[in-house]
Amino acid sequence: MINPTRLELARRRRGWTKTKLAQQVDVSTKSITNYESGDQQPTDATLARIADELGFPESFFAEPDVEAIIETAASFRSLASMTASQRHQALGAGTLAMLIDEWIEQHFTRPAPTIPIVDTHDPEQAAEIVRVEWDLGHRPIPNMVHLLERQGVRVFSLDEQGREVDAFSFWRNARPYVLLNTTKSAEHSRFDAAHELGHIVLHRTGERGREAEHQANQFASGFLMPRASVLAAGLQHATLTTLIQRKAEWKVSVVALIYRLHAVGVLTDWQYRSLCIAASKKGYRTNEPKSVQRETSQVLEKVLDYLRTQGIHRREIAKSVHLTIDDFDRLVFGLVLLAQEGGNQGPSTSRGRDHLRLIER
Amino acid sequence: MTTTSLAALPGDGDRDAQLAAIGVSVEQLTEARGRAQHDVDECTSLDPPGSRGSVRRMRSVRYLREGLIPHGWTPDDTGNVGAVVSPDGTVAIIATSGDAGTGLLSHKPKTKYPKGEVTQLRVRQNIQLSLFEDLTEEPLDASEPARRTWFLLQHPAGDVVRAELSYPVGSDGAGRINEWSERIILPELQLDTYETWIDDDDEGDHQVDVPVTPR
Repeated sequence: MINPTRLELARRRRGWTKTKLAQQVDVSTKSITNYESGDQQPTDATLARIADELGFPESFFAEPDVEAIIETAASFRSLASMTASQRHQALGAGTLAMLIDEWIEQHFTRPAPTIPIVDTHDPEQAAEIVRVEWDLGHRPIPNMVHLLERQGVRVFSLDEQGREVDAFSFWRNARPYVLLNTTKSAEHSRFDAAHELGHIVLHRTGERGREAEHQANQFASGFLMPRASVLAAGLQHATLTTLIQRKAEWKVSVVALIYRLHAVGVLTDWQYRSLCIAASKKGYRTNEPKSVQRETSQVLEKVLDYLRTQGIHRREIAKSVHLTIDDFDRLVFGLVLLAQEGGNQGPSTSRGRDHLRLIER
Repeated sequence: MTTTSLAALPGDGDRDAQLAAIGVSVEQLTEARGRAQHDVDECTSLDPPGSRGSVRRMRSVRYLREGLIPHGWTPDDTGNVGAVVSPDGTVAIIATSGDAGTGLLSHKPKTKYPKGEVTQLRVRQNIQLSLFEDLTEEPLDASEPARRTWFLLQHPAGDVVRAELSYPVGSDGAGRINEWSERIILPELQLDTYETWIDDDDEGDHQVDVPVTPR
């Protein structure tokens, strides 16, 4: 028996159309449509072929229905520039992350979500309220991923070829989820994490679009670089070199710091423009100078560490959730310093692996 | 007059009993101090000099009052000394900054600043009540019962704030309160300050622990 919801999920996760899947497994497009509507069951041989082509264990298709994350439920920063296929792949990753998360939930207790209800549409104010609620003062955030996890947000990695996707977030079963593209710079990822927190806090009821994205950016800027700390930093006449030295205090990109200094009025319009131009010339918009260390997930690390002491390794966990080790790794890899488990460190097809390997212990 | 003979300095063990006799708990004091410290941490380098100490003192008074008023205590601003007074009016607590000896049994602390006439009167009343169980000096308010005034002294030292709740019975020539007949040393409060992060390169200080336990 094939579960139609799982077939559709697996196909979309790969970014394939029904036609492409039909061609790959040598059946008609109509048959795929029928499998996905539940009107028809594939033969055992066809099912095996589908599983093989899509790269999912056959057992994945026999599991209960999954309610896939739909487009309107998730926030994408650059929705317009994404193809349907890229959106489906990203959302598919979100749905698979949720399956892994449910498995973890069955076996571990973690902090429950504590997302403040914010009664304002002003992102700056909302960021301050969240800081007060979470007792953060106006200190810099040492680790955004740990903070989110401590407050009950479920964080997974998005190791996507589609680098158009920075991150996205969604609510499911009263729990907020964030998927972070871990192939970006550490500063970029931190900003993404704070940006998604902005969506979680400000757009709980599903506001989307350009204005929502702008608000999430302002939230992230205010949350990572509180007005009081930026004003007190003495950066009135800072040079680009000074800003590169000082940005580590907030662990933000130099461009984000320049933007923030201007927004709070520390930099004049003229200073702002010249610093932006200087930063662009040096290529700092795409290549972060003096980048800090990447953030990792404490939850995933603790879960994997504990299971390892029980003799349970990634491969067995992947099997329990009916995923290949490749799919499993892609959702946790960027957020965990993987210990050597003898041999296979995941597929070589995924990009971003080489620089990630540098931080493996 | 020497006052050290009036009472032996207490050890840690009877702290809770001593506080109970005054009508407060270590938890109530710690909560007020912690909340005040939280406000102190809101100070940045743009606050004027001395802000941190002032904020600590002022907010300790307010949060102590907020914690004790539900238990029948009342605020008393007589003579512009911000006190909180027990339900029967016989005990008052005021918060003030202490010097480096604060919170250390091996040292004798004094208040950081000289105190005004009203506070000095309270200290003289303390002495009389200790010696005679009655007042020979007129109280500020004739209807006021004989009142013993305790000082919540605080002093930031390194990465902690030391504190004690003590019974003052004398001052030096400059008006700083420096004689105590009873001292109750309170737990140190960990400092978590804005000042420290700026030079703090690693993330050790505010490291978040996410509890994850197998079911």
